[in-house]
Amino acid sequence: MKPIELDVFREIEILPSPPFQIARVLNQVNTMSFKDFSAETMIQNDPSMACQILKIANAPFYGYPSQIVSLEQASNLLGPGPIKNIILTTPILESNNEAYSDYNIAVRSLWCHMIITATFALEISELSQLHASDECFTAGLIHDIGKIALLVYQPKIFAIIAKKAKREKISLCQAGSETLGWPISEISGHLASIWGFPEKLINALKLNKNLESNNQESKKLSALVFLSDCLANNLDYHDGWDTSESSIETWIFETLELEQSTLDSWIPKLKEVAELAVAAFES
Amino acid sequence: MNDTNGAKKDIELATIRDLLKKQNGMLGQSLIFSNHLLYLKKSVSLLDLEEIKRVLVEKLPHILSIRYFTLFLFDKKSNKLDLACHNRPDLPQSMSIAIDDSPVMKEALDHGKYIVEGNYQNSKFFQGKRNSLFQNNFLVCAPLMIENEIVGILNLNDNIKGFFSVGELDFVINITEFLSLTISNALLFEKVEDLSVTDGLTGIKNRQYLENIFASEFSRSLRYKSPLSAILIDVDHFKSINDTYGHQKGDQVLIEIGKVLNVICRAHDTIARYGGEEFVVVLPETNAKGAFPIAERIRDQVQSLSFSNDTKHWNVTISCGIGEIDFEKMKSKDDLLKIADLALYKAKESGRNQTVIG
Repeated sequence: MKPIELDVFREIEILPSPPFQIARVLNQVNTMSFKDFSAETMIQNDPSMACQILKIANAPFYGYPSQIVSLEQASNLLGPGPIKNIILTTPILESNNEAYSDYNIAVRSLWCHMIITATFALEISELSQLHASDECFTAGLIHDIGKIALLVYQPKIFAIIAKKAKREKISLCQAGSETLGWPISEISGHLASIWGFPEKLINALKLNKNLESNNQESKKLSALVFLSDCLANNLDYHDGWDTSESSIETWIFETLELEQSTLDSWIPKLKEVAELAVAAFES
Repeated sequence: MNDTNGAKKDIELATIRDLLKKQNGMLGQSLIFSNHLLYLKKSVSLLDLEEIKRVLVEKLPHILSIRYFTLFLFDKKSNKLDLACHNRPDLPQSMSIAIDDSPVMKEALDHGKYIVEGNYQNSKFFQGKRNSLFQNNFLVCAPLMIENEIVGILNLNDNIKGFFSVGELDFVINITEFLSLTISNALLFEKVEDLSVTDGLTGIKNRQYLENIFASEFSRSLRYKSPLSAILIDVDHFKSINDTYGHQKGDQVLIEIGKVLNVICRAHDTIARYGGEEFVVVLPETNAKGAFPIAERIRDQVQSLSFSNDTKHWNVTISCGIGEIDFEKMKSKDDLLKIADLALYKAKESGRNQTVIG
């Protein structure tokens, strides 16, 4: 396979959303005055729209270049008008049934995985009081945008990686790293960077564990997203392609100053919130 | 297998087509609203409130697809709503209502939120009397606010379809947000303009305003050969009032004289503080003979004013000089003012506290 450079993703301006998501959000827009909806409730289940909102809010035009970390901040800054426009202009993700027989199911699982990761990040941040919960939710929601970009804009390479993961019974991330020479999470970080997201969010999306000690806030956000992602996988909310269990690395516990026993005690609560999030997503 | 995949693909394509149609329709509507808003912005980007009202009466019903509207402005001092403009034949040009007298407007203003009633008659706001002017019972009541400051309220009646879609309602909110700013700017401009021609102490017009208005009144009189006179007023012994009782008391005298002038002079007369302790009254359509009793009434009224401090009570008097336009000899308002000034000099020379016609 001809290797690809990270730079091929430079031209991406927008990520599509699957039809079920677009239909749900359009329905809400049609039945609710924008005075009554908040961006979070409207797009909290959609990483693509969330990215578009963060991209616009972080543009210099609005006066806070690369400073808006969460959807809540972005929504307060932009107001309902621009958010409505983002919803109306989000492209529809077309399925690729030729490459995958269960494409739609996998896409649905990927979206669900991102929502669960966001929900866990929010819940853990509240339980541990380690980081601003709105920022954790946002980082969790969009942590896998690299997968969406790869799936949509480099579908052949994505298919090779997915097949390799399945054949060798390894994680999609590992298969991605071995195929591309760099982890898929780098694409998430790269997109966040070209779209002007704050450094903190870029590091979190790259799942960057090698941050300087003076960048503890950023490192905590990374660790929290990493932890939430692992928990989502381990509690069977996989991304549609990856079915392997994830091991929670030591640096996560150290960064979050967390004991395994504490984490274990949170699991029932996390399962509960996950069920609620899935029910909301399916409704 | 291929057939199943093909069928799946067809269903999916149909779904995507429907969604695209929906997105397209909503975007199209958004564009139309944006165009309407831009058009209204261009039309109403004015500083003259009267002009803004005129444009609203002309364009608002069409842009919002409604038959009738009323726009009230909030008067903070009286806590009342003043009807600013409307297109309803059953209402007078201007009127004021207490906020408590309209439950629907009161609720909208109290909560800072619009109220939509598809059937006003069945709503809790209905006061038992249906307006026969309206073809349906549709009502939107939207407050005009800037942050938490109330600017006014916009009422929309008789929507042509009988209802508003969510998009149309959002458009109304956009319009009210924009109108709040435009009207507030116009009101501020009016206030600043008024302040720039108002004497800060007495609250009557200042010399700058007088110069302009006097000049235009003089030209008008000269053109139409209509009478015009001016009264020049000077407070007698004002320096000694200041020296004896202090400048604050001197200021109080000037303020009270300003009030007397406001009460006695007619609506179309112009009163102004000319400078120091001098005042001018310009009286259109009035000759010196007609101005004399007015000057005398002012003089009497001022004489009857009583001033005091902790130890003393005193009165003040004024002298008045009247000038009248002379179509043959006068070329500008300064000529007329010169005659009034000479008459004032004579009044002072003759013992003060009197009116002299020049």
